[in-house]
Amino acid sequence: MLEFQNKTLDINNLPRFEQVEGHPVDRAYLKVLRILYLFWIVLMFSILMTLEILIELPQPAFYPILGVLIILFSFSILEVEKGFPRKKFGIREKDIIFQSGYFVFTQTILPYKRIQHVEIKQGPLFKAFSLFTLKIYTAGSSAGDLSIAGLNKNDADKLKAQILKAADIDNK
Amino acid sequence: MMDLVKRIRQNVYAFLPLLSSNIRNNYLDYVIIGFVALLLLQLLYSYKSYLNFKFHIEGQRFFLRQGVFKFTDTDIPFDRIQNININQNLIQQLLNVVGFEIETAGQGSAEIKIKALSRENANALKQILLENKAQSVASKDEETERSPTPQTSTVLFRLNLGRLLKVGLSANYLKGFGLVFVFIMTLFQYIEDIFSNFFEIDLEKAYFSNFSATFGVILFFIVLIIIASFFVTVISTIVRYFELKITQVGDDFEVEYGLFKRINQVIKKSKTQVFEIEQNPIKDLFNIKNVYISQASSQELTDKKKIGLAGVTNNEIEILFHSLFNLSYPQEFERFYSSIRYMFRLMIRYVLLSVAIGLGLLLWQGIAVGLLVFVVITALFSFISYKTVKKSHVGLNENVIEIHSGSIHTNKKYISTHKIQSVAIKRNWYQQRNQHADLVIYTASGSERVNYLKLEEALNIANYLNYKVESSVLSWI
Repeated sequence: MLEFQNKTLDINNLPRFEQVEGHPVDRAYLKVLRILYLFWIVLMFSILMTLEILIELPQPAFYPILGVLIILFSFSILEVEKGFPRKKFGIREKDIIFQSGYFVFTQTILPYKRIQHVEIKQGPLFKAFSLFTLKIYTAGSSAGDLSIAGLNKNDADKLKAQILKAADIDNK
Repeated sequence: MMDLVKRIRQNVYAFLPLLSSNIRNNYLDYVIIGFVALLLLQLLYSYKSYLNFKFHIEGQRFFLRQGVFKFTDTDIPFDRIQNININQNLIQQLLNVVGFEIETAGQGSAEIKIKALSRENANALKQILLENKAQSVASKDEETERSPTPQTSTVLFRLNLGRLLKVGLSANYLKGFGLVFVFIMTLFQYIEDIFSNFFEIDLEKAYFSNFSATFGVILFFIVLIIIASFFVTVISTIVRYFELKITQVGDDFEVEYGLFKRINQVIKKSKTQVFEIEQNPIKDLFNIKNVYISQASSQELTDKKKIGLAGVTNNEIEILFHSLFNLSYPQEFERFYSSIRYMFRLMIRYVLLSVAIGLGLLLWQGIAVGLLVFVVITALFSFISYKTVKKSHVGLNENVIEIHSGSIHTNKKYISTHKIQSVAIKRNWYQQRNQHADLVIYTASGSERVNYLKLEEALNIANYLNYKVESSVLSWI
């Protein structure tokens, strides 16, 4: 470690992304996520119940399916409820930081100069809550693309403007 | 002409009903009439599409017009061209033409394929496209010190037959094994038929009546599969890398290989993202290595799409590395190792797999065989996991990062720090508690992952790489 620090600059003096104060995404997005999982829960259980009543699933099939569904849904509820407060984005002078996830917590740093283009999207459900998804494209394969869902109009526009401004400066 | 062959191949399913004797007897006339009509239509269509397929070069752009019922015009500026590939498959070899492909950085659909071009024309076209491209790049950003050096081409490396055989012998047999396994499984029914015809034994009965006979049959199959996978692997490797030739043209390299399908690819220095060196114990014995090069691409690169240079020696790796990175080859790195906890993660999957296999055998052959196989497989997997963990580390220095991985084989990936696109840190639920993290590095050709580093180290590396990316002024794709 010491040798490495002498060779380059002191690694501890580099700006640390993990100390950036993140902005949460819009609270309304939580409502959307809740509506989505409630919808799926109601749908799946009503399908299961209908099947049970109509064609009487055999016992060894019914309970495992029920069990799997319950586990799956409790995981997704946990992910939404616990994970939502962790959905945060941060903007720095030269990059954008996004973090999310309860079971797998992911923090991504994307420098503005690597951004190819930006897209603001809005699906029907998002429209009802006036939310937006900001999709940030990088060059090459889509693996490094970043998409931030659940932004309000203000944040989405600000983010986009910031990215475009930084990209402009970079090109000059 | 090529078109026609391809279309016939695409429509081959139309003839499948012919296989059923019933249909063959009743409708043969109709089928033949339909077939002839189809063929005629295909011929007409192909001829028309051949007449309409026109391309030309104007200024600094490549124009292509194609289509039969509707025209498609494609227009590519030279400086958007990423890559030019020249291929030659078996039919093209017979017709003495080559296939010509132009890749761009777009979302994949803008690729241009010219299916038949004489070799001279293809080379000339390539020369024009590449030369003009080099000029336009040089004039655009002079600060990237891309002085238009005289384009001298020297043959760096030619894979002779002896070394090709070594490459084949040291290839990864698991790939061949998978292929053979699938093949044999699909043919199993067929084989069973043959067996019962020739030897008059019913395999189904034999399974249960006679343990030793069953064991013999299984052993026979295992030996057969192993021998077959050995040959399949060796032969497919030899066919693939036949007469591999690497030519150095200025800073770039041209690669040509293949027996039935000659492939010609260009490794462009500026497009190179990941430089990968693969070794395994047999390769070490032969003193050869495989190098894979990933270039910027619109799709996540599969192993097949990487440019593979098989059977190169340390000496040639040094030359390649030096001209692609401007650095000498064995670099010094500050290394960060994966935690031994990574082994638990690997073992979870493996243990589940061995339990499943063990249980299956237990039900089939009884407790002794089930337990024995379970213990053997688990021990094997533990060894592989242990090796995987020991080999998993990342090294950094000023200019390059090295991602080291592998189990029995060893795989080293080199990426210039200024070519990284973005960095991510991933921590699953368990890692969030024990202060570890996975580091994911995104490049223009896909992502690379380093598993189970200490959180503090991972954060430091992420910050450092990010600093490197943001402070660099070099172009990255």
